[in-house]
Amino acid sequence: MENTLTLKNRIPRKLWILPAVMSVAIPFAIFPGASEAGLKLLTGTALDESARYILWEIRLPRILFSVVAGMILAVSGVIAQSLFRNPLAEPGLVGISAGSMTFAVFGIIASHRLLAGELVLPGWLAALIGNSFVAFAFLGGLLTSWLVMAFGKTARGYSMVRLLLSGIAINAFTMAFTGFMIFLADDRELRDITFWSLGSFGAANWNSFSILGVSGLAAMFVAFYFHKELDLLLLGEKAANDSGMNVSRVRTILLILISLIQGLVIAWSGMISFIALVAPHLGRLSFSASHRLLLASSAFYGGLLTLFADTLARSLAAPAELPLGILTGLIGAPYFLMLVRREVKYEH
Amino acid sequence: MSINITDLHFSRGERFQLHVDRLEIPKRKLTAILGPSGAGKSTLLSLITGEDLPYTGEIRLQNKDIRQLSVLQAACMRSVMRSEELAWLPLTVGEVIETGAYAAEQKKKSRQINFEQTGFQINKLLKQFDLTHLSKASFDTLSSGQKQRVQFVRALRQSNGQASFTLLLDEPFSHQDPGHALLMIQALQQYREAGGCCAMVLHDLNLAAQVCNHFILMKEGEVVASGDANRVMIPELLEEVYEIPFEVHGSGLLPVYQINSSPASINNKKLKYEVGYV
Repeated sequence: MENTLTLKNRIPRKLWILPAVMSVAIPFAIFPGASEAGLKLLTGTALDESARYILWEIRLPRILFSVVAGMILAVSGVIAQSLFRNPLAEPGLVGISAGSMTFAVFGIIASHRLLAGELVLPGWLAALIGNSFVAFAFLGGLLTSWLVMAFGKTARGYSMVRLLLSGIAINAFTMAFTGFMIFLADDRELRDITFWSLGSFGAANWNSFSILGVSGLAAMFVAFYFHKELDLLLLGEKAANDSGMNVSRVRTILLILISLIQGLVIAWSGMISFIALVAPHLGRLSFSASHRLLLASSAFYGGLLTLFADTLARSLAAPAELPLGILTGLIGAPYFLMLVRREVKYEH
Repeated sequence: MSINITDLHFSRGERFQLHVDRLEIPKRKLTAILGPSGAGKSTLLSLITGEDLPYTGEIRLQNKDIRQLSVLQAACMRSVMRSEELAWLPLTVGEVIETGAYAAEQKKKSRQINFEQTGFQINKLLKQFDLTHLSKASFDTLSSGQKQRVQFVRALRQSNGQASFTLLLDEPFSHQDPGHALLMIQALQQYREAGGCCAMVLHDLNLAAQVCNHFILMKEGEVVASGDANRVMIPELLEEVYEIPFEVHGSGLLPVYQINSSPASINNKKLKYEVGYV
């Protein structure tokens, strides 16, 4: 009796370190940056109007945005790896990142040329691109992942192999479009495209944060609701079915969930590499692979990593801003390599 | 009366046809499903699990047509131990076994049954099957025998201690050393005495004769014989099914089934396989 309960319900004390670190990191992240507002805050100098604006209207929402984005990217990574039963899987496999990319690149080029009057598009399309570039990229991502899922579906629910293969094919197909548009782009457009494809939280504000925050919280709640099902999915489709779980229903919900998460983050902040792949491994290696703990620990790791990378991105080369993807790769990859080398579990 | 099959037809392309006219897998017995590779043993087992396969005919589990059962209902009546290898399973042994409790927990959630702890606590199970020292080990780092034992315990966990339950096991002992196999066999015998129903696919005839008291002999998708040892485990039938000569040494409780590989015996019986080394 004693251990039955502890095994199931205990939260390891070590896990509290992560939210603790995060609650310290978030206020600290407000100091560094291009403007001297942070320095003023630190030294207690009176804040003028613009400094206050920079701190509360630009920097703080951006910090919170990056934390939530990192958290849900990590959660979507956990789900993708368990869904595909592959430690190398990442949510991009479902096609949504490539699709968002294609639409975003089109949106970037189109908005430049619409302004210059070089391009004529149907009114609604021009309005969508002009007013809501984010919605445009988001819809593009959803369209592609819908396509991948339509091809990956069989009479008996989703086949993971077929889904993976369709994903690879459709990724290649959309990449061809992207490549063609990049080929046509001029220098200014190219710069925008490059910046977008390496990711940035430059677009974050209270508006975008409130949308991301609410939907991100909902997404994490849904993912956690399915933590037992995710454990079972690791045992394979048949074993999960034998154990009483409705595999095709859960799979459909989870696939849609990771598409939405990815679409949401990518549309606002471009391609953020590596977080969704690394954070789940960090969670697994330092705590547990059981999803009750893994979802939480990976989310915190994802949030912290992203916050760290973004803080460096906006302060290292200040007043210029480095693309985020450069830093996530630069920090994430070596750390990940070190962990993988040290960990006995990966010697098999 | 635990599993009843009538007029079951299932085909997988042109190459494989399974047909079972009438078959019973009784409770209070341990049933071995025997036959050469490709005879349809695992397919029969899969059909009984209620896996979504296009068959005709009827399979009744505890007098209920398995097609009428929801995934959750089925999981509360039977558990399955499959022989597939898992490429990546980062959960610990304890966590893997606990996933076996899923169905019972779901039922408890929807208040469909009075969920009671029926003595199936994970620590007891771990101890009973010599897994206590591995409870926190990652499943991926286990040997194949240990992995198999964990899967067996998981299937037991799913039964939640109910006596009116069915265990479907696909080669449960194939990686076990004799000592650990004995632990599993003893658990199965207790389960049988409590009134449980169990069907297992086996390849080792001697083990089958030792463990089971009901037998189903299959060949090319058909049931050749079923019943107790006296009706099924006789050399003539085994020779017909496996197409090699058999001899039975000893009798009574523990007969020994031995392949007779002397050239004379093979030539006399004109069997399909030529046993090359004598």
